[in-house]
Amino acid sequence: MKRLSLIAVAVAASCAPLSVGTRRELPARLAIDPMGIEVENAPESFKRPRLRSFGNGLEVVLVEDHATPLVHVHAYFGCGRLEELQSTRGETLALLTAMLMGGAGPLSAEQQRGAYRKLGRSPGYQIRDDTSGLTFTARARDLAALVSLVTQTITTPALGNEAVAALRARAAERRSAETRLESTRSAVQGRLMFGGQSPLATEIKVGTSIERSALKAKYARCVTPRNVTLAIAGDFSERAVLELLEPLAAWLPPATPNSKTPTKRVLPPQRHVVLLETPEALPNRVEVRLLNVGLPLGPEREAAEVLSSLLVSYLHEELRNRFGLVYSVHGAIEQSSLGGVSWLSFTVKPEHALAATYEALAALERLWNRWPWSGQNSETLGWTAAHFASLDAATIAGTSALARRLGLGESEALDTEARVTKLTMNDVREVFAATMRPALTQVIVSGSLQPADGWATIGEVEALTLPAE
Amino acid sequence: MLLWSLLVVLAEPSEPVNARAHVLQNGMRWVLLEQRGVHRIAGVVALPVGSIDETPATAGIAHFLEHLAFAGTPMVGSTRGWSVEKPFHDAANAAGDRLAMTLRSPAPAARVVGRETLELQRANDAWLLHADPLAFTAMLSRRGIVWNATTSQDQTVYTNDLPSAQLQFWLTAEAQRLAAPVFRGFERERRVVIQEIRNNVTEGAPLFTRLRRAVYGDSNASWPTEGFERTVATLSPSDLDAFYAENYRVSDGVGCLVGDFDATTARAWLEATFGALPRSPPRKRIAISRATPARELASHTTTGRLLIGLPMPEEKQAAVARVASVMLSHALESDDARRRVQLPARATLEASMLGAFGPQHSPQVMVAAVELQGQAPEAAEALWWALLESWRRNGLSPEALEQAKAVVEIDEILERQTRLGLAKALADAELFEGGFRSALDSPCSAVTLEDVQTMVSTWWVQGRAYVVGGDAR
Repeated sequence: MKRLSLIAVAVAASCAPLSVGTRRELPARLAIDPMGIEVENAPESFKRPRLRSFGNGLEVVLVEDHATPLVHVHAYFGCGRLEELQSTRGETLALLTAMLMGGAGPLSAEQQRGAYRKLGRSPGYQIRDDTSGLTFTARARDLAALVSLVTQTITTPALGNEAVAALRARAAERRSAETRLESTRSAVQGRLMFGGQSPLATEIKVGTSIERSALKAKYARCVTPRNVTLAIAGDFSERAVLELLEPLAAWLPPATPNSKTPTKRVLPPQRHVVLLETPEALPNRVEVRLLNVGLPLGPEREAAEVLSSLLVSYLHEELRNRFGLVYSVHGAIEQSSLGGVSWLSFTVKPEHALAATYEALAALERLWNRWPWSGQNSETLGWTAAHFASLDAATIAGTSALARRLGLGESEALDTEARVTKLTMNDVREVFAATMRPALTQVIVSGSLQPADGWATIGEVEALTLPAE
Repeated sequence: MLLWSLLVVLAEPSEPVNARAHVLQNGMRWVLLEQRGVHRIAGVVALPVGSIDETPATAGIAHFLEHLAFAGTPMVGSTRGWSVEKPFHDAANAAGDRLAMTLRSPAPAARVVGRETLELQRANDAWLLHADPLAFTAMLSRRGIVWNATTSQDQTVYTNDLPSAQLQFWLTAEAQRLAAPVFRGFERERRVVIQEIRNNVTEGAPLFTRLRRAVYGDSNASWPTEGFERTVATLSPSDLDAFYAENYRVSDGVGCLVGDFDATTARAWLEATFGALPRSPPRKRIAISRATPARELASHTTTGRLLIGLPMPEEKQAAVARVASVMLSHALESDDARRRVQLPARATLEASMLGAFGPQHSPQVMVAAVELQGQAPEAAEALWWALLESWRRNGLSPEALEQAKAVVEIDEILERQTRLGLAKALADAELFEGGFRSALDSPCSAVTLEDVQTMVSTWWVQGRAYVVGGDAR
C-alpha cells in the first residue's frame, strides 16, 4: 500500500505542471445566477448637515453621528495659497503651524502641544487655493476640552518668538526624498497650470526667514469671525456644542481688510512634458501625472467627483487590464476660484512610462468621440448615491463647511442629497467637456527615468533632477 | 441537527452591542450584529491563510491568490458560458504550467522560454475571447458594493460595504467565488502583483528585510507577504490551484455582518449560501516563534540609520506594548529627552517608533527607527539605549500614561467602531482569540504604569533586542 502511494505521488509530481482542468463546480444548491437576484431600490440614508450662524459672522456646520464616540472639529479660513506672493510662498502654512505650535491664550508653546497631546490626536492642516484649515479629532467625552483649546488657538494665538523658533526648527529638519519630490512636483505643477509668475510655481521656503510681524499681519487678515467656518461632526448634542461655542460667538477682533491679491491663471499654449529624475524617491518605478484645468467653484462638485472616479476606472481598464502597463491609477479634482486642477496619475515600470503615457493620452482623447457611460446612467448614478450616502460625518461636515466658506448658498453647500439624487450623466459629461483639453493636458513624469527619445512627440520636454537636500 | 446548527447568543442583556454568533453546518462561524437605520452592511469573510502558509519557493502566492479571487466564477465571467470557456482555460493554464516548469529549471534555454512564452500568450489571448476577468468586480460595483481585500502573514480578509438590499445577492456571489474561483487574467494579474512588489521597494525596505530575517530567522515569517519578484514570476496556475485547495477552507473561516439587516433572514440566507459549501478537515496552523536576539551592524559606514526590534513578551501583552510604544514615541519627540543625552557635536538625531512588526497573531516586535547623521551606527545605537534608559528613569509618569492611552483609545475607536472596522475586528477576534467578544473590550484602558514599567524593564533591554542597520537606508 505504501509502495503504491509512493508511486502515485511520483506520478502526480511528474504530471503536476500539466494537471490542469481543476474542478470548478459549485454545489448544486448554490449553482444559481447571482445576477438574477433582484432587489428593490432602497433609499440611501444621507446624513444631513445643519448650519448655525452667530452675530459676529462666524458659521458652524454640525453633523451629528452617534455611531462612534468621537468628535471632529474642522476650522476653515478664507485664505489660501493663491493670495501668497512668490516672496511669501508658504506663509499660510507658516501661520497654521504657528497657531498650533506657538502657544495660545494662557498656554505656552509647550503647554499647548501638551494639551493637544492629552486629547490623543495631533491636529492636521489643509491648504488649498482659496481656503486653509485645521482639523482636530478627540474622544466624545473630551469635546469641551477640545472646543476650548480650538477656541484659544483661533482667537488668541501667541504668534511670538516661540512660534517663530518652532517654524525655523521645522524648516531646518531634514526632509525625506519623497517629501522633497512632492514639494518640487507641486511647484512644477503650479508653473504648468498657473504660469511661471504664480506663487504656486515656487517651492515653500518661508519657514526659515519668517518674522513675527508677518505672521501677525497674516493672522489679522485671514482669521476673523467672518472669515472662519467651523465644521463639527460626531457624537455630541447640538445644545451642548452651542454652549461651548459661546466664546467664539462673542469673539470680535479689530476689523482688518482682507487685501487678497489673487494670482491669475496663464494657461500654457501647448503640452509640456516635465521629466523629473528622482530615483531615490521612486526606485524602480515612475509616476506619470496628467494635469488638466479644474472646475471653477460651483455646485458641480459631485459631478466632478463622479467624473474623476469614472476616469480612474477607465484608465485602470485601458492601461492595466488591456496592456498590463500600470499598477495603480489615482485621480483628484480640486476646485478653486481660478479653476483649480484635476489630475490623473499612475505608477508604472520605468520601461513602460512612455508607452503608458501615450496610451493614457490617447484613451482620454477617445472619450471626446466615444463617451462610454451614457447607457449606464442608472447603475453608475445608483453607485454614486451609495457612495455619497456612505461618507462619514466628518467628511460631510468638512465638505459642507468648505463649500460654505467658498461662498456657495446654504442649500447648495449643505444639501448633498438633493444634488446627488438629481445628478445625471449629462452633468458629468458637461464637467468632462469643461475640464479636459487633450492638447493642453500637461504631463509630469517622475521617478527612475530611462532615456527615451519619444517624449518629444508628446510635448515640449523639460528635464529636471530632484535637487539634493 | 441541533449540534450542527447552533445559534449562540453571547451578549448579556446589559451589553450595548448585541452581537450573535451563528455556526453553519460545515463549521464556518458567522458573527451578526444588527445596527438599524444606516441602510448599509459591512460584510467580511476572514480566512486564516497568509504568507506563513507558503514555502520559500512560493513566497507571495497567498497574496497573488487574493488578487485572482476577484476574477469570477463559472457563473460570472464567462462571456459565452463556462462549458465554452473551460477548454480555453485549461489550455492556457497548461501553457502557463509548462513555462513555469521551464523557468524553474536550473538553466532554461532561451529558445524554449521564448517558444513557451509565445504559446502562453496565444493561449491566453484565445481564452480572453471567452472570458471577462473584470465581470465579477463590475457586478459588485454596479450594485453599490465597495469591495476590497487584504492579505497579511496570517490571514486573508475580504471586506465589503453593501447596500442592505443587496445582502442576499452578496452572500450568494461571495460564497460562489470562495467555492469555485476561476483565476482569469492570470498573467496580467501577475504583472500587477510584481509591480506592487516593486512599488514596495522604498527607501527603508532593505533594512526591514534584514530586520525580518533577524527576528524570524528562517521561519515562514521571514519573507514579506507580497513575496519576491523572482518567486511570483515563476508561480504556475497549478501552484495557485494547489494552494487554494490546501488552504481555502471556508469551514476554517469566519464571516461577519454589521449593519442594517434582519438576523433571522440573514441566517436563512447564510444557510442557503455559505452553508451549502462542504465541510473540510481543519488545517494545522503554522507556529511562528522569534529567533535569538541578534545585532547586525555594518560599522564601516557612517550612515547611522538603525532599526531596533523591541520584543513584545506575548500576544496578551500587546496592549501594554502599544501604550508603552506611544509613551516612548512622545518622549522621543520632546526636547527634554534629547537634552538628557549628549549628542556628538554637529550631529542630528532622528528617532521614532514605527509600530508593531511581524505576524499579528504570533510574537511580534515594536520597531524603532534611529538615525544619527554623519556618525557610525554603533554611536547611534549607544545613543538610543541612553535615550531609552533616560525615559525609563524619568519619563514613566501617570500623565504620560494617560496621554498615551488617549492616543491608543482613539485608534481603537477608529479601528473597531466604524461599521467595517468593527466587522473586521469581530471576525479577527472570533478567528484568533477564541471568541468575538474580545473585540468589544478595550484592553488598553486597563493598562497600568506598573504594567509598562515591568514590560520595558524586562523586555525592552539591550540583551533582548534585534538591531540591524548601517549600510542601507
